[in-house]
Amino acid sequence: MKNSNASKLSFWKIVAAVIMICGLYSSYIRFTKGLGASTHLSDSIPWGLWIGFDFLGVGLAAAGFTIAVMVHVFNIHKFEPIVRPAILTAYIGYTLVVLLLIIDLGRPQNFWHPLVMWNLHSVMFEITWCVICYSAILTLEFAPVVLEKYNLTAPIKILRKISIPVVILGVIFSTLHQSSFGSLYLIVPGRLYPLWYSTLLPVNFYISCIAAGLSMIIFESYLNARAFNLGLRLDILSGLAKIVLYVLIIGFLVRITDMIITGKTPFLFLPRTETYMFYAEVIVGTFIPVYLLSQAKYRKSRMWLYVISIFTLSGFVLNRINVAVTGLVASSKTSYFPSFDEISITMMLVVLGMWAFKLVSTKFPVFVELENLKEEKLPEDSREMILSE
Amino acid sequence: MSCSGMQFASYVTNKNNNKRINIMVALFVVFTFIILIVIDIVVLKAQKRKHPAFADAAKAVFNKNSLSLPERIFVSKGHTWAELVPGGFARVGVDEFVLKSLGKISVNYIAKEQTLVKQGEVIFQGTSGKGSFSFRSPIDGVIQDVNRNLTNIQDPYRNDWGVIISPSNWADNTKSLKNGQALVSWLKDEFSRLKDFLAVNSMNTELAGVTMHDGGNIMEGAVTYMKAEGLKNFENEFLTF
Repeated sequence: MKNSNASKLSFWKIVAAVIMICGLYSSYIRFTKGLGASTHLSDSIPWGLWIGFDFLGVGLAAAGFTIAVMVHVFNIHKFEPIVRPAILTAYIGYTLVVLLLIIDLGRPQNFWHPLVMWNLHSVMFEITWCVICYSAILTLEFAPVVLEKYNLTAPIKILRKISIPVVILGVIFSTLHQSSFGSLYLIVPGRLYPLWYSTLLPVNFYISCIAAGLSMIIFESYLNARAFNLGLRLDILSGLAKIVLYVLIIGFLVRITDMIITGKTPFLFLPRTETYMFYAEVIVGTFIPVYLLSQAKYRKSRMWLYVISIFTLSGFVLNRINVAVTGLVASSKTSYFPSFDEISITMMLVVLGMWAFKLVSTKFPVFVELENLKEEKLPEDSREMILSE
Repeated sequence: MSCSGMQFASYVTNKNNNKRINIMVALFVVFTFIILIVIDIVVLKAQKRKHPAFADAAKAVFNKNSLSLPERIFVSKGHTWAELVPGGFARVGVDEFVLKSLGKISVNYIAKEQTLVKQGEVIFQGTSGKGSFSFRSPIDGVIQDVNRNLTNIQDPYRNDWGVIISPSNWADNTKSLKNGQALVSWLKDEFSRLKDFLAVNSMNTELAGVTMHDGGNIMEGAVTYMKAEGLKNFENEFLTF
């Protein structure tokens, strides 16, 4: 892939450069002066924007396993063209999360401890190992793309033979740790605001990450189309949008049923900031997307698909930050807003992620279509050679 | 966990916390996300470009895998096809590759019946966008019939064939035509060649809506966005043999 514009200075390149400089400076402050000097975190609020970003990064990367299982296990080959971008997104998402976790650790030099010092009763232990294992799985899933570039056919054949077990393992690890992020908050029933606290948090996290991951792929397709002048496969994106619709409905029904059963509905009418934030999250991330997605004209519209994905992603962002920050602030008796260093490091990682995606996409065959020829089984007189589905 | 009345009461009475959480991190993150999207749209507008979400929705895309072709056809290097039909005649038309490249073809000339044609001679002409293109016979023979209903080519292998020829040199002619798996491989190569061609000849690749990248899609009718010289080059490189 050639990119003649690589050396041209553009608005976004300047913005990215400024963000990178600020981020590197903040990283220097964080590693030389510690978390106290670089963040607004405290003993009352030990988890802030960075943990929220971890939730977002992992959740948005959920399309990696969702698309892989649809194509490789359920044989829905319609989505094959987006398998590689989805896996690359997941790979980069997880790498960024790991990087941010290391920055967020009080003693980053001890990041390797969970590998050898096992605490089998800790949710964090499960998350750590699942993230490590799933990152390894993603490496195996993405390896053929790199091997293809260098025409290394022998290892590709081996990877193809083990592809289905690898994908299934990936689904298992993803399911475990996507839900485990919700499990993390089961230990704070008295602190997390009741509208977000639920024993079904792991289930809620898992369901919502599928909708968010697929929406992220839709949103990302537009970014790719914009960055690489790629065409949009609206047929595929509309198919994804339909799945998002069902998942959003299921997620909302599970959540509202749980609230009714556990007697939390009075909190819906309490005039508090948390209540307003809850409504914002549900209206933006569920009601509006469900209304729009339930109508084919919006689901098949190039513009509306983009708008809907923004709504769904915004709702997902609100949900995760509400759980990680908003829902805990009231019980902590203090306020929290991220420091400049927290914001600049977070934005630096976003820029790094986008750069990584662009770099890999331009160096390796990420955007490929079905190469295998298939014969459609038609009557003899009208039989055609079909180059793809 | 069931919500206790005490827990609810504590939140009802404890309203001071509302002030403490007045700065909402969640809103900050969401608004940052949305503001960046809006800025991007504004930047694109300033550059007189369109965001893909607001681009011409009517433009479909195609790629080397999205074409189908009848099993029995033979295709020339000029992207015209011939297929033997009962009676020893050959039906001739334009292939889908050219149709998708040009987007739409309006036919304005078809050679007359009983005309003797040689392989490579013009049998019909059409226009697409600002360009006029000639399509050449894939075989030698005498034109026996023409498709009088042919005005716009939309269904190139069934209803929108061009002429029926009585072949005079079928065996020799087909040696230079592509069929079967050779045709499939050749068409894939033609896609790569088309991408390179668009990269070289398009003054504004974004207007053409194409990608020059590995495996990317090409917008239907991408060729018609080129200037006169590019259209002429397309005919020379893809329709002439």
